[in-house]
Amino acid sequence: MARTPRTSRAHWLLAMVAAFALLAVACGSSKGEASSSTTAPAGSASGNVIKVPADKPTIQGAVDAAQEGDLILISPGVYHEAVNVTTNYLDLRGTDRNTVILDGEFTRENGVRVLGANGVAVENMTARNYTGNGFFWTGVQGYRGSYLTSYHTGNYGLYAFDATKGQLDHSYAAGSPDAGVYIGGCQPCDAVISELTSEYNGLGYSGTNSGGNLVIVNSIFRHNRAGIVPNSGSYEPCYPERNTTIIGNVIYDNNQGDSPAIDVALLAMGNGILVAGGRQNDIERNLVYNHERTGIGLVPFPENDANDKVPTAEQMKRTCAEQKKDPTPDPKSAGTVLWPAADNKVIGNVVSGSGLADLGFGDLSGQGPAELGNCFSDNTAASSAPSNIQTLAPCTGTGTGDPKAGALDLVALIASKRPPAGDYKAMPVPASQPNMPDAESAPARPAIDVPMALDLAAITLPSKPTDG
Amino acid sequence: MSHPLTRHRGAARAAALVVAGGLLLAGGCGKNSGASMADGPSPSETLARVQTGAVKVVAIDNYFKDDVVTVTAGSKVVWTNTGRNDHNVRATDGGDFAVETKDFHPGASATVTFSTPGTYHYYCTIHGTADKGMTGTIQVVAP
Repeated sequence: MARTPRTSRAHWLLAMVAAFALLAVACGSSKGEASSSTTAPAGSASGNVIKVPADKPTIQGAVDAAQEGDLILISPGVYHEAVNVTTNYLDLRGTDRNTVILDGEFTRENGVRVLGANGVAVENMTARNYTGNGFFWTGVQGYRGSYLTSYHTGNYGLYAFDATKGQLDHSYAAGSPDAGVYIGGCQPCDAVISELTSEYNGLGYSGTNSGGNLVIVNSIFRHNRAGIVPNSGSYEPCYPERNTTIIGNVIYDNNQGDSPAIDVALLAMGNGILVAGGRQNDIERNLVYNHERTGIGLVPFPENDANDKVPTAEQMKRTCAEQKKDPTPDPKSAGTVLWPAADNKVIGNVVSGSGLADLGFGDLSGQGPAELGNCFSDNTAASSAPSNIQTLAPCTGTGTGDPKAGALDLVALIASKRPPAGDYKAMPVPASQPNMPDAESAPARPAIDVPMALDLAAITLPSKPTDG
Repeated sequence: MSHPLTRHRGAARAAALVVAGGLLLAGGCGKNSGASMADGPSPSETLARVQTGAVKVVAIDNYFKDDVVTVTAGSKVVWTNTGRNDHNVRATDGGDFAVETKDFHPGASATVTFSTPGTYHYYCTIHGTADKGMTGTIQVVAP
């Protein structure tokens, strides 16, 4: 049947549009405007997938081409890159955690750095041999790192700074002089660390001045200089550290004298959980064993040449953003500041095999644990310093006893020599780690549903690992 | 050619070149100028107190505590790293002042003399990009 020229032209145009649409789907890297909805909630997956190296030869190239909600799917290979992400709501995912490898060759700073981009998820890949960090989020609201492996990094493995509403899960970090995993500079943080293993670092976990709905659960910290170390200091914003919850973790053998270590890690060595100048932390139902000093210790952190003094109780109620508006004190004007460990609760932990004390408290100002609002109850522990600490400072009722009896000699501990820092480049290479399920087929999942909801009351004391 | 800025990196490098800053004023305002200068200060920047002499900017981990300062031309800006991490100072848009990481370890100070009026944006490359993260601005006004 004959067609009018107008109809033919219209069909031709339609055919061209259809062809372009098909081409876009086939290539897999187009932006697919037809599938994007201007009414979709912020952070929704776009449905677009950019494959590396099929669509873009480099991860950075894919990131630069991506739009909000896109999935960047990375095939196995060694990528000599330092990836910067500044686009919101991306999902960077390796198809295989153990063979999708970012390698800094000890010349690049970060494996993946997410800077000011909200809701970015990074999943199922390895970063190694970076002078700074494996995976780094900063200045963001919403972040997630899942099924990540990081080793041989000059500062941290997984690092979230000035970042809120986040989640680090199913990940592994080793061989960092500062900490395997670090969350700092946030109040409130609104973040969860779950099912993570951290070993052969200076500190397994470090959190300077962080807290506020910050939860560390169901994770393993072993073979570090020290295991979990929330700490305070005026060299970072948001001081002091407060309101971190540590529940259901296994912490053991954190006496690793050949691991890399910054000065704080040297000082903290031989302790399982060491609250160094932190406040209002809940430490419950953890399994802690085999430490040269304390299993769970609450100690002050003496900061030399501090920038500022300890805030008042009223000032501590402020958010980090509010505190940042304070006038700048003269650098080093505060002299040496003692950040006390105060108002911490240590309940229902099972602690054993500690060289000095399974449960420890120390203070350089002569105050006892109860005077500073700390309490210890329902823990299974063979020793404590001061003696009978659960009678001296119970979490319910009034304590009795002499806080000076059997107290920790902090001055001697601080002065004692520790093995020098090892080389972070020489730490053991990890074995293969479990993959994310359905990494190749699962749709993009930007970090808009974080942190995960947790029923903390349902978390029970963990069992001893078969290899621990 | 003279530069509008003079660097004094650390106490050991106290001696520095003196600047003939006015020479580059016109060029400095262009996109490809050596110094990083924007068209003008933002409203918040203009509210900053004008300081003179040696003006301190504290870098802690991981931000510049005094992220916007206003100084008179000829003033020295003294960055001090009071954090525990390395930092640096890099002019945005390829400007020609900088404090390298090796000169700005924890505890170190570095001084730059700003002789030419304008707005100088900068950032720490380790903890920021040109417009995100650890960034700062020096607003230089005529004496």
